[in-house]
Amino acid sequence: MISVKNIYKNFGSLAVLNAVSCEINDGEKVAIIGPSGSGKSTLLRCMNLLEDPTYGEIWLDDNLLTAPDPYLHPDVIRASKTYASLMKTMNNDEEVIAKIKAEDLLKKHEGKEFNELLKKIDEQNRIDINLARRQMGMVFQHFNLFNNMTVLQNLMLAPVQLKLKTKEEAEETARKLLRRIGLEDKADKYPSTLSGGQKQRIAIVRALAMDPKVMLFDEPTSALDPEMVGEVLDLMKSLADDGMTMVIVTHEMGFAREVADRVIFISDGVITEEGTPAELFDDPKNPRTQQFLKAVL
Amino acid sequence: MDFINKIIELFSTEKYMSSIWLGLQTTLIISVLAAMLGLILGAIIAIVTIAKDSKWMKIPKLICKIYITIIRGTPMALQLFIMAYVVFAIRGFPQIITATIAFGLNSAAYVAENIRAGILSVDIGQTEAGRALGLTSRITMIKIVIPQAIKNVIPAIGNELIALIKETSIVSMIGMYDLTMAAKIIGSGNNMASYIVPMAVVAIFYLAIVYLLTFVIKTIEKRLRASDKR
Amino acid sequence: MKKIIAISLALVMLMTSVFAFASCGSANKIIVQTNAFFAPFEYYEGTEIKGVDVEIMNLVGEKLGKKIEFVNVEFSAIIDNVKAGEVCDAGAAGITITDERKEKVDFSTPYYTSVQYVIYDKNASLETKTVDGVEYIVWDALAGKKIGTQTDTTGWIYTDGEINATASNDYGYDGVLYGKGSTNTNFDTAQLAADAITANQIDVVIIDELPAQYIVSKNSNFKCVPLYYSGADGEADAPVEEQYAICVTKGNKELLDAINAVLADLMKKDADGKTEIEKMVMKHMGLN
Repeated sequence: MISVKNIYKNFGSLAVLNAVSCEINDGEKVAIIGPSGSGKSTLLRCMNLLEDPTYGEIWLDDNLLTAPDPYLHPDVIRASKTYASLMKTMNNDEEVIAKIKAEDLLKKHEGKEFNELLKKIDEQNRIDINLARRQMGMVFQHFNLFNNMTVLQNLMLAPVQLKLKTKEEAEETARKLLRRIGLEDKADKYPSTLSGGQKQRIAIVRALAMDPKVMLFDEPTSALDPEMVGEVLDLMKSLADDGMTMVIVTHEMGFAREVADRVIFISDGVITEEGTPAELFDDPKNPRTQQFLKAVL
Repeated sequence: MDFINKIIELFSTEKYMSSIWLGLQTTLIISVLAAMLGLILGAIIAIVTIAKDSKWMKIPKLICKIYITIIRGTPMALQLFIMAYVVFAIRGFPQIITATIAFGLNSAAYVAENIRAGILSVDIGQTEAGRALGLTSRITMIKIVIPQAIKNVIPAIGNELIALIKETSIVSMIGMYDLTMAAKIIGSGNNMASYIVPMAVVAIFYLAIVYLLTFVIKTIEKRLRASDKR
Repeated sequence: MKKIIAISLALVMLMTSVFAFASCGSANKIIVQTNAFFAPFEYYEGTEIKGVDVEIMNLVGEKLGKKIEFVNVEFSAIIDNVKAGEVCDAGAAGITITDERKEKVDFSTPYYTSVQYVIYDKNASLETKTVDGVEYIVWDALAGKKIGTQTDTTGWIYTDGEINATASNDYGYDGVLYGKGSTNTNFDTAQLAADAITANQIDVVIIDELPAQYIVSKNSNFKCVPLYYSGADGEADAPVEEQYAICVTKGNKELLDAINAVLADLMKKDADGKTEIEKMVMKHMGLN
């Protein structure tokens, strides 16, 4: 469903993500773990373009979310002037392409044909980011409920504004979701009157109100008091059981082991190790992974 | 005692009270019109300043930046003089408009900064949550950020309006008949021949206007805080 | 958003129409600048400007068949505004004729002679002289005193001259108060200057006779006497005298002639030996 292709993310001179690629498949629950500053949140936020990758591409099914990256399209590379000039001396397609990729040789102006090919890819595949985000729900560490609206208004805002539902339909859906989490009596309350656990569960159903294909969770329980972590994890488990595709950045190793189909371990901006919970937690191969797990488990 | 007698004299003399009445009207009209101009123009400038950088926005943003720098860097009195003696030095041009524009333009710069600060003070998570739901940046700004920014902005703008009202007292320098000019007239040689009492009385009028405005603003603030109740 | 645009457009249209409206009516009127803090020549009565100068200019307006509009400004701005001739046509503000001012504007025939007076606190120690029943102060008695004057009036000009003139600068002669420790502080109006005496910021105010008398009549703690130049040895002391006239932009012959004609009429002495102008002065001082 989500394809992360060779993304780099630089903040100024700081390289936070380095050649990261991964696939999230339909119905999968993927946990992303790692030390602080490893880039795991950045990776998640690149998926719905809250962070814009410096290089690389993000795909949602057949739709391109970022600008096309020429390095990921060999035909485009072949249309470049740099390729043409290198071919004159090296005369080997594979080697030239490999060299261009390895040494980052493409320049700003690579000729008309190059630009046109890129444009074609863009036109054929790219979709408006707002449209894409409607299909991807996100849950934040600090909840981010809209403080100037009631709980009900929070849930109804997007579906109504984006004309996906009428006001009545949106309200019905919203109340149903609130009932599911037992908070229908809070419908007309403002977020400032709620506890952290309540806020986060409401944040989750706010995202669900848009009927997304995939849910992205950015450390959803890190800001919660310990007593409330459970109620949020329970809701997430129930979502998982319903078949929702989920990508979860988390420190809750127990939860990851129980719910995830796959665990990705990121450190220093690269995917250091990846595997099923059993593989990663019980038999980590990479020394960095072992070091991390020893510290947290 | 003499002081009190003079005050009574002021309030009971018709020509003095007609001076105060005209002065009061002028002060209020300039203040209200300039405030409206300042708020509207300030909002526009704030929007331009905050908008995303693009090639269309380069020149408007630069203009706004220069404008704000000049207004904030020069005294209001000078701005008023330039408006009255240079820009609008036209035969018969109504001074009320000169004053409204001068004070309005001045206010706008401060209002713009207040609005900008208010908007930037809204937690960025609010914007991120809105965008993550697929809402456009326009809707996110209008429905989510600005309503919250207003709560932060109202006190600052209130202060600016209070400052504006008091600042209008310099229009007497270009001969306009406002409250301060009324004080000068009542205090002049052929009237009370002393400024002390008229100035004191006019000060009370300014105080009353400012007090009224403060009351209105505090009421607005209170209403907006309704959603913050725990 | 739409509401904001609508309101701004409305404001712009409103202002443009007022602007247009204002500038089209201006062909048929004469704009006279004054500083309405100089009774009895011009002063505010409530919200109206009245006075001798107002009456004179209204007669001029009748003569020319045009409306007269009086605009109140800072005294110091009048001469330059009349010189430029853009925002006004004439200045009537009890303006004294001086050579410097003559270079900038055209003056009418003089219509009033005034003397500079000194206002001071009754209890202050100030040396006065009395000659032939007239009590006065000479410049020399103001040595070491803090003097207050109204900006750009002749009182200010003379005081500045007497304090700062030396043989070596532009003046070419030594001012009476040069090097004597006197200071000149300028104020927007004579009234403000007088208040400064009460506030112990200055000692005396030098201003024209009539405003001085007004101020003293309303403030019982003040006294005023004329200001004289000490006579050279053997000569009598002489009052600091000056003449008022109305000024117009250089070259505006039509207006100047009309003003002079009106003044000539008003300065004819009638049966009881008084000119119309003198009667007007008395009337506006409430003394007839």
